[in-house]
Amino acid sequence: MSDLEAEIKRLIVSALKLEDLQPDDIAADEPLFGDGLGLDSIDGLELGIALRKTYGLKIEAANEELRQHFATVAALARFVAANREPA
Amino acid sequence: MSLVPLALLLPHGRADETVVALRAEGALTLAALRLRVAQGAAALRRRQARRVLLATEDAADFLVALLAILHAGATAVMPPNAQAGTLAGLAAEADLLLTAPPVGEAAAALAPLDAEACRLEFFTSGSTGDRKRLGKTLAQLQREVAVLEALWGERLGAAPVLGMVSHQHIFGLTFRLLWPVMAGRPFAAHNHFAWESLVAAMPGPAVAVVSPAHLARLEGLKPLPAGRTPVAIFTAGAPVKRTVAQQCGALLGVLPTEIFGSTETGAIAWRQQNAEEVPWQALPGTELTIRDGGLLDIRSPNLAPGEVCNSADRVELVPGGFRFAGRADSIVKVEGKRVSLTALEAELAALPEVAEAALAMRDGTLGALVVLQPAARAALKAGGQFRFERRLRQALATSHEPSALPRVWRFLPALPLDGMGKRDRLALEALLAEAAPREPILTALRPGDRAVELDLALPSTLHWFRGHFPDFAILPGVVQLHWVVAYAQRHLGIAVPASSAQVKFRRPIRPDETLTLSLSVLAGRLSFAYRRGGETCSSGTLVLPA
Repeated sequence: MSDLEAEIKRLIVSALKLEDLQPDDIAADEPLFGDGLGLDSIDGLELGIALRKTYGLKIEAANEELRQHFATVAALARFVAANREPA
Repeated sequence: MSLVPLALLLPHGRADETVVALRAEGALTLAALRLRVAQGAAALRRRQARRVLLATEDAADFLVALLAILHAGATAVMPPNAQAGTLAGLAAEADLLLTAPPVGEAAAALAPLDAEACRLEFFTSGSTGDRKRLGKTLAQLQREVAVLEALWGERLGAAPVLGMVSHQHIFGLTFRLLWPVMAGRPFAAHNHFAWESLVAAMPGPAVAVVSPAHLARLEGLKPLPAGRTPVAIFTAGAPVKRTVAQQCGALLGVLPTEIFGSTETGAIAWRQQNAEEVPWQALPGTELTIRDGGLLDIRSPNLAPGEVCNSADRVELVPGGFRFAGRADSIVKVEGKRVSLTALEAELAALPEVAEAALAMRDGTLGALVVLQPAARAALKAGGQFRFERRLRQALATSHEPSALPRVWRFLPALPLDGMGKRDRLALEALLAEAAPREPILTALRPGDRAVELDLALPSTLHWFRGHFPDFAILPGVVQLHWVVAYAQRHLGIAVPASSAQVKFRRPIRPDETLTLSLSVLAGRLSFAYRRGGETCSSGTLVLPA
């Protein structure tokens, strides 16, 4: 598992205040929304804020494309790696 | 822009090439809309549909289906949300469910609709939590749009309308769909779920229709350059905080225009927070009065002629309008969506895993306090609390939108004291606030003569169970004494120093146990005993100050 994936799992738990979940309990390829982890649309908005703030992501994307980037931790890690603001 | 009533739009409305809806696969023109509606209406007539339950993901599909239903002379029944359980529960309300526009072949030309005879039905939670059916005529909706256009039409010009709220709700239906269509503004057919995609879809000035939940989550967004800022942002469902409105102004270049209303009344008032304490102002033609108890009564062109809506909204009249002071029933707003605590509590308690349940709001977050059935406790331990919570939520999500369901969950051995048929709201809120509470849950209180008995349930999450013996958590003696002192003060009105105590500890007190604490005053001493069933866990005396 990449460091970025581990970081994103920690970010999900802290940003969404999921006090009853450990980062390691999230599988990298598990769907984040719906039947997988069970995140909802409000969680999605909160996650958006956390990604903008943490990685300086300045993205504009079509609905479907964005949905795919947010599908799993692994997909998010790839997306962040490709779009993060250079440090 | 000039307004064409929906009733006349298709027979003799605008030019054929007018763009009605923007879709990924290309624009929907008025001519294409007219053809699809004529075919759909013919198909519905052949099926002799009288009442059609309508739920689609795409707003353009919704418009086609809605107009087909009305042109077929049927009633459009709008579910409160499109969750599968909701649609199944409403199946008896209709003779047909449409989740896509009806498809037909050749069709006759469309005649104008009789707006007074066209009927739409909505559902909302009544003040007692039951589902309430609300009928509206197309004429009512057209009158509402006419008021909105007269007030804001000039500012909006020909800007396209984009949204992040569902067209299934009255606010989305009116603002994202009916208003643009009648005014000749194109609307975006799909609903955006993130700011990133909404902003990407706004190359130039547009109208955005969003929820307060979206506005509260703008942080980190890059300010929009001039020329790309929306001409207006409409929101409804819950008041927007002033700081949120200001952030919206800074990042998106325009303050949100907040709409006050309900499924019953449609839009009745508005405000734009360009200063502190901006009151809500009635829309033109709406007449607001206050009845007993400070509750708002509404007369509006959106209602049937002569109808008065007696709302459960508590308001104060102030110069220039009114201030909203909360609901007078068990309805709360969760992320701008109406939730009946009574009804949702009952649904939660009916789940097979749940023995007892209560709901409470804290800082705008809905929380659930749940006593599980013994068999479900193992499942909670096995799967981890978060996944277990989300499973319970999933079970409720067949009839509710997930974002309007409890976000904080507490699993407890018992619920706090239920006095006079009402739960102690403060106790519930305190349990929500603390993941590791410091006090037990008071489940019963029996006052006597200079004595009192309290039933106490000890959640396993109790702060005092942490630490000392990780594998064998027990309630420390010093905490037991502290509670004796605190309850004696609270329920017997006596202050007694813990330092004078003589105590005998017999059995350890463990997580998830329910105890009875007896306190009694006799001969200058306070006696206490913690009992579990028939056995005494600890007992002792404290000397009252002279």
